[in-house]
Amino acid sequence: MTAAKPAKHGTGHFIAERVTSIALLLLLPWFLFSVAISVNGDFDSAFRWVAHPVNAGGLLLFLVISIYHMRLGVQVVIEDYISAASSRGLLLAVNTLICLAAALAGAWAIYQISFGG
Amino acid sequence: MAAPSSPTGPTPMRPLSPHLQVWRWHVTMLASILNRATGIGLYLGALGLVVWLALLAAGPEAYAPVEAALKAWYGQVALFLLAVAAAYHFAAGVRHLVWDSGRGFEPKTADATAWFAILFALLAPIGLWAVAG
Repeated sequence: MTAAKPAKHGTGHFIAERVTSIALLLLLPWFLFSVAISVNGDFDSAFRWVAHPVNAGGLLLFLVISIYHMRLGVQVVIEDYISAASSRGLLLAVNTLICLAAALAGAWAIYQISFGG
Repeated sequence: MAAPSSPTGPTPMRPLSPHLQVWRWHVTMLASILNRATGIGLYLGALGLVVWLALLAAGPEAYAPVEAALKAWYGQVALFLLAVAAAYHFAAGVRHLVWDSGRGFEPKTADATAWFAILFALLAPIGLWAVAG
């Protein structure tokens, strides 16, 4: 079992985690309050909320920044608890793939709701 | 201070911390664990948000089971827990950003902000549900 080597991305990771945190301090309350006020679970209210251009733009930002932030966060959890280089590398790749797929699927859905007719 | 040598060999005695005999529960410890736990919970919540969006984009028929689940008691409980997790992670994030500026490390301050984050996590979602009506 070889311990994983430092990837030398520490400073960038630290800064990206902080920058995304600060953006989410604004985006998270906006998202929660806006959805709480305008959406009540049924299809029409939800669709109309997402289709509004301001909401679509804000939601896309919120989603992409959240997903980037959670990829960074879970990366640290994996690095903290998984010391074997092989399983660590695999889990880090799975984390990245899940986040990439989620961001693309979310962006695609927002695009479809906004422009899909 | 030079570390005393172990009686059985040349290895210097190193501090063992946290040590079982001197271990004491701290709210700051709970606050740290909760930040990680809520972060992982929100990871699942974000994936749920993507599924919600995908089914919304797919149309009313595809969305019908989502609507039923969100309006059922378990859906409301899940949404409330996600709101608690989001509120906690938000408050804990503010604590971390303040720490980055070099402030808030005094034990009394750190304890107080930890309790505040926990209280905020419980009260903010109640306020959110009140707004939703």
